[in-house]
Amino acid sequence: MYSVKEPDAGTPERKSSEQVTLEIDGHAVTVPAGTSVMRAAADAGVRVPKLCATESLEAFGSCRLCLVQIEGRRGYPASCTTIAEPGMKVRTQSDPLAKLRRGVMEMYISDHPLDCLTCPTNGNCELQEQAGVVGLREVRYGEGGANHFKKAEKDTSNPYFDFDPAKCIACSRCVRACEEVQGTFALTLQGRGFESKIASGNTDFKSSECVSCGACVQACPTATLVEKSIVERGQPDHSVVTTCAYCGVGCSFRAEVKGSEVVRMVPNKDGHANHGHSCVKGRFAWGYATHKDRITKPMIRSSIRDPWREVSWDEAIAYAASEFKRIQAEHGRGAVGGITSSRCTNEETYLVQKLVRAAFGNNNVDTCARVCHSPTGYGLKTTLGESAAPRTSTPSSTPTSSSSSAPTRRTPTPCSPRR
Amino acid sequence: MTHIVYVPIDATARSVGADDVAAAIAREAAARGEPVQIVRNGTRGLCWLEPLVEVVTPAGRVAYGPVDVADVASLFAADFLRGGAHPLAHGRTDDITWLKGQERLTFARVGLTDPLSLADYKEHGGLRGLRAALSAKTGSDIVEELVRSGLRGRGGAAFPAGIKWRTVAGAPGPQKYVCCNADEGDSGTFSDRMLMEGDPYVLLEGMTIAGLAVGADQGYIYLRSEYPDAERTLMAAIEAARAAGWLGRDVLGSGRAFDIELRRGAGAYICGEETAMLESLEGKRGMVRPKPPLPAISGLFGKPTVINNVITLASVPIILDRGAQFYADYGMGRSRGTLPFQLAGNIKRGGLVEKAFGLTLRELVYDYGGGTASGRPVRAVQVGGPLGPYLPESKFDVPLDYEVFAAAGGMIGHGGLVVFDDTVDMALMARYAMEFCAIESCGKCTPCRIGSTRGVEVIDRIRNNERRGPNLALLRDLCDTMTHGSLCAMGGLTPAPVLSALEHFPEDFQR
Amino acid sequence: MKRRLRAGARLIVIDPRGIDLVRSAHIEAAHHLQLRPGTNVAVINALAHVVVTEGLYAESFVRTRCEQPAFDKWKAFISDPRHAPEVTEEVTGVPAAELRAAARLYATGGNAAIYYGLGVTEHSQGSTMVMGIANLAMVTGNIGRPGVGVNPLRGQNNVQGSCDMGSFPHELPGYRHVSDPAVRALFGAAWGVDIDSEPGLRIPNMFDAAIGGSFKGLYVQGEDIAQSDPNTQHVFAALESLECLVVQDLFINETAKFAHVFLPGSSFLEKDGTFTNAERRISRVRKVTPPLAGKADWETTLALAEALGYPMHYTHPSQIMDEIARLTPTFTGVSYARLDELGSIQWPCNDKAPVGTPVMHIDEFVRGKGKFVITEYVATEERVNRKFPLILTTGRILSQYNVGAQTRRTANNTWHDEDRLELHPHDAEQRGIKDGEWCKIVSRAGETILRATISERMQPGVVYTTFHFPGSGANVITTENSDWATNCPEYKVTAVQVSPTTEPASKWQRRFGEFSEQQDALLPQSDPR
Repeated sequence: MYSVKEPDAGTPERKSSEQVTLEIDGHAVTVPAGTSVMRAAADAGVRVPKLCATESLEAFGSCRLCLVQIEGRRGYPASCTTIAEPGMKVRTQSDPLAKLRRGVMEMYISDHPLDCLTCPTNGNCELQEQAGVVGLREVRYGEGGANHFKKAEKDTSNPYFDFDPAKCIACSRCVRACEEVQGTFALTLQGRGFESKIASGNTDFKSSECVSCGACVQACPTATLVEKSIVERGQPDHSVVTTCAYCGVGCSFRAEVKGSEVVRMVPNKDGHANHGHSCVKGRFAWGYATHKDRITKPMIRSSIRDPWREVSWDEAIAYAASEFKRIQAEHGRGAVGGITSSRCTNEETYLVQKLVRAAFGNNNVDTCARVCHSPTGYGLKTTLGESAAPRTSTPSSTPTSSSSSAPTRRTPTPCSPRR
Repeated sequence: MTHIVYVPIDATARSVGADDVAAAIAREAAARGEPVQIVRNGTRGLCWLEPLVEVVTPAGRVAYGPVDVADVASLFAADFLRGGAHPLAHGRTDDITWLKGQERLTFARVGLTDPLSLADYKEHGGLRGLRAALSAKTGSDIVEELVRSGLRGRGGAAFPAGIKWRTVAGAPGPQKYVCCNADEGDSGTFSDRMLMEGDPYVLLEGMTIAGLAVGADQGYIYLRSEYPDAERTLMAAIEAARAAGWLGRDVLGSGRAFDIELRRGAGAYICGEETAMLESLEGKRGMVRPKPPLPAISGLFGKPTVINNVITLASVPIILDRGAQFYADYGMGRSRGTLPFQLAGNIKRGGLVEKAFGLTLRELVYDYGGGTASGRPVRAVQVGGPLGPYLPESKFDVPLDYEVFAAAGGMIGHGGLVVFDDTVDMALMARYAMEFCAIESCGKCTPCRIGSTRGVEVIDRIRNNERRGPNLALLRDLCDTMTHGSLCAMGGLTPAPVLSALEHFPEDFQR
Repeated sequence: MKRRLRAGARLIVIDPRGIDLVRSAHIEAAHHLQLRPGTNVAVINALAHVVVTEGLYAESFVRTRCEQPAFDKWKAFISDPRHAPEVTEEVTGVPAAELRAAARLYATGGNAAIYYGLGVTEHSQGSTMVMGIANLAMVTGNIGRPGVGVNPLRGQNNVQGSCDMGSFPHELPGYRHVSDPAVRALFGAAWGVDIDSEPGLRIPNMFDAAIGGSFKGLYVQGEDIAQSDPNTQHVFAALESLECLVVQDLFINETAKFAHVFLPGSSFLEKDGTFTNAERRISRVRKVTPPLAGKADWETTLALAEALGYPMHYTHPSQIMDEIARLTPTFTGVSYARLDELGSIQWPCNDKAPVGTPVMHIDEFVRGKGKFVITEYVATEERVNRKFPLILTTGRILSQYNVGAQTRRTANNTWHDEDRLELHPHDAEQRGIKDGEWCKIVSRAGETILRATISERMQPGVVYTTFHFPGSGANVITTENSDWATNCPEYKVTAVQVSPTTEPASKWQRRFGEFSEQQDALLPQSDPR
């Protein structure tokens, strides 16, 4: 789940040249054709209760909280799966609707442990929030009924997140995220009727087809799928939008922070390169940033056979500079050089080459890109004239030819991986 | 002269020993040097008389039943091959009252013919509907003929078949499909099975006509796995029809293509719901899809798809053959044509009765069914499968017409009747309705998935006299949430039998 | 990509291995051209041959968008029967019928895009292959609009950016050659120095010069050249001969073991800046937490420059970007304020393209007319023979990142805790190698020992390994062969022999282990955090 509450229009955005105007609770709203009533309502500032709907996934229609009334139509259509039509008059609040929603919520809560206060997503749980929204005041089904929480066993096999079926409301958001967002199909709804439950195949998460992209965890509206970091450290208090430092996809992330400690990295829904998706590395494998192997004090030594000596920044910098100056004095201006990194920022890279060219006074600067993509630069510059990717990599092509690079392996987001 | 003896191959007959009887007749005939040709026909639908053996006599077919292996010797002794008298004899089959009053349009051939004989099929009027369809100028001529016939979906929802076809025909796109829903899962129903086992070609013919009408070249039959006999018969029928050029790239030499593939379900009741069936056909978990989009517009693999059940499609050939008016002349109100009713449960004479709409439960239960098998008074009849309301005697005279019957609180559905005598505990039956749903729900929507299990628990508390008043109120609230909140008819109709039990048999909840 | 495939797009995979995209849930490639490593150019030529000789090419696109004489020459070249798939089949191992079908699909199936990675570039003919790909895209008109094109997949977050920023010894920021006096004058004026007109040393030249004694000092920011460059033993020797190696990094990486000065780096969470992804998309990196060691990397470079007597005056990375924008025509519209406003910007971003350029080459190519280049297939010098009968190719897996410095320090090791040698059951059987047991891999350059994984994904004759763990020594066995145009190492083709062994480490691996232990011992006792 996104922890800092973000607006969620419930169903994906539709693009159309055709516009549809309808009325929701008396407000006229105009949306692109194909937009759901739920999303149209969100556009009109009306939030229809929902649990199984989220804007990153296609409408599913299972939770039945988003039922509305539409003039001239029988019954109570679900606003997530009903497409807005011109002139539609929609009511999202009425006594029968309130009663239905409470009835549905009462069923949900009759199969949910009431341990909110000690739950990792306390305060950031859609079930909790919606129970409040629909005004649930009592659960009349009593104790002792069939349930999924008393004997549920937590699956903690994945190193980054836990799966606690006790909290599951079987909304299938995780299953759908795995299919629609990630394309891995690792999760499924197993069994029928009341016995329906989410499963990672017939094995635990770690041994399953799961590639730990985290899409399911993000999609989960409860504490069923939750990051271990949140279990351990609690909810964040603010977030900062930044860019992942792993591969060349450049996914946009929200770094969620508690105090000065990162507690979670969540792919940014508005990220132009990743549109809310991520892979295991950017999503979860950021712990290296505070790993005990990090060297946090400058060190020097005169020979590589000598022990390292921790020194101040000033001393280390002065020593390095004096050595470079000595070498240049003894062996010429060209005896030193610099290597820029394809992981540091543009600004840092720029500074290193500037340092080489302006302070060293030579052009002895190179980068590790040579060991991977220099032929791309040469080849494309020769044929097309620019040594860069010609286009945005959101494929809209019909046949796609992929050549010798196993793209699902390395740079997963544009094409989604299996491990 | 070779004597022709009919021993049904229908699963009902086989379940009570028809195979053994056929073998015994062959053995006995050989021993006696009587030349006998045994034909395994479909069932006549007189289930209580199965195995119903018929012999061909100059006066017509003469029936004996129910025949046990032990009876075979005495039948030969009584010269049954020539229509001899015997305690099991029922005279000319066509004269049996039970059959005589029926109006068999869809089931016209069932029981008369060898189900897989192409010659039998043609001889008894087969292919005439398809030829008529092929000679129609356009697909829409076929569609409009169907619209005029008034044929409505026989699977339960009773949506006008012609209108549905019109939508599919009008939907854009080069690829369309015809899907036959043969997942006949309602308790007390068996007409689909009897038809598929007894006259499979009529279904193939009906599907082909549908394909021609809407512009589909591929049909699928989604058959429940519990029907192995029907599967065998259909597979053989599809093979034979292909070999004969009835199916394939060039249907009856018309240059039009239509082929059919059989797909078997995996034992889920919910896959009889059309959208769950589509999911299952596509190889996915059988889970209900929201509608819209209608399958007629976005159905199998997202293509416009005709979905009709077996009886609907099997009724199409006769409409094309005899004309819409012929068919529409049967029935009453907006319920035109005939419906094969199925009598089951605690009933003396169970079986299949095809009649025009408009008769009553009383006629079916008493005139045809002969009352209960136990001999005790009838207390309730459930019509329309496990989601149909339980009806008390006071409703027995309501004519069986979709609208009229619904107005009286009933649901014709697939035309199945399950009869209960006065020993039935209706609170327990209400519980059963909830339990059925709890087990068979697809698990997608909350009211159906959780509500049904809570329903069982609340009824248990009521039956145990725990806080009966509040729990009865809770049960009604729960039924309300399920009725109005469920995604499909499964959850939406589960409260029907429960509420009908509460309404008509309140005393059973107060014990 | 998977989403488009599920929606009906068809896929051609060209890969020696049966990768996941060939077949996985709800995805199946229309064609998998399972070529022998090192024969890329032969395959791409054969594809183009089919397109041209079967008349499937986009005549009007070629006429209006490409240089006619170059095309005519190329057309004559590519039409030669020696490029016919029936002829190349013997070299590439790709069945001619399959290749023809793939060529027809690519040429006639509607919008078609090519995605590629290091399997294209890390070859002795890497540049040739890239040009071959560009030829194929141009001849079918599949370039310059949404849904088509040539799309290199970049391995690292800022490969694009580091190239853009003038990281090459012959180019100043914006890919402008140092020999151009106008360019030198522009930067020289801005920086207040005279810029050398001679291109500098490339990394391999630096190593050679270091061993030769003329190159003595190196400042390495955030790059583990000891591990990711080919022929590890040569690299180690070069690093050992440096008098001053300054390494700026998060960890004591393999390179730092040879360093004299270690300057603690800052992770991406600890600084402000920008990354440029493979789509030329510039995105902001924002400081989330303060630098663990007190300085962000840009501040460290600043301090070093000052100590070298060249003070630079920036108080925030945004000012560095402002300078880049001033000096680089493709960046003139880029600023932090603009990035905050738009979310991200794809360069070129300037007066002509104020919100950036999502698709390049729309009306004309950057160079004007597209140029077809003759791409003769030349087999790599790295040949299999009786002594080295197998081809080793290298790659990466999802859960680990590159040399693994980061991912090895996370729970991602749960899935991949060692590099293994993957080989076909047939090759394993022949050699008596069992799954999970040690095997020795010997090449002309060196040898190493890894555990074996037996897998049908491989074709017989080809073996595969990853290089995420330094002790694996994958680059001890890769050769010094490199791309003829750019020196990009030929990681993807090494002739090897594989044999079972009971030893868990080669001589090099043992030496490496000992060296690493010594270097660990030379670190200050870290306080347990």
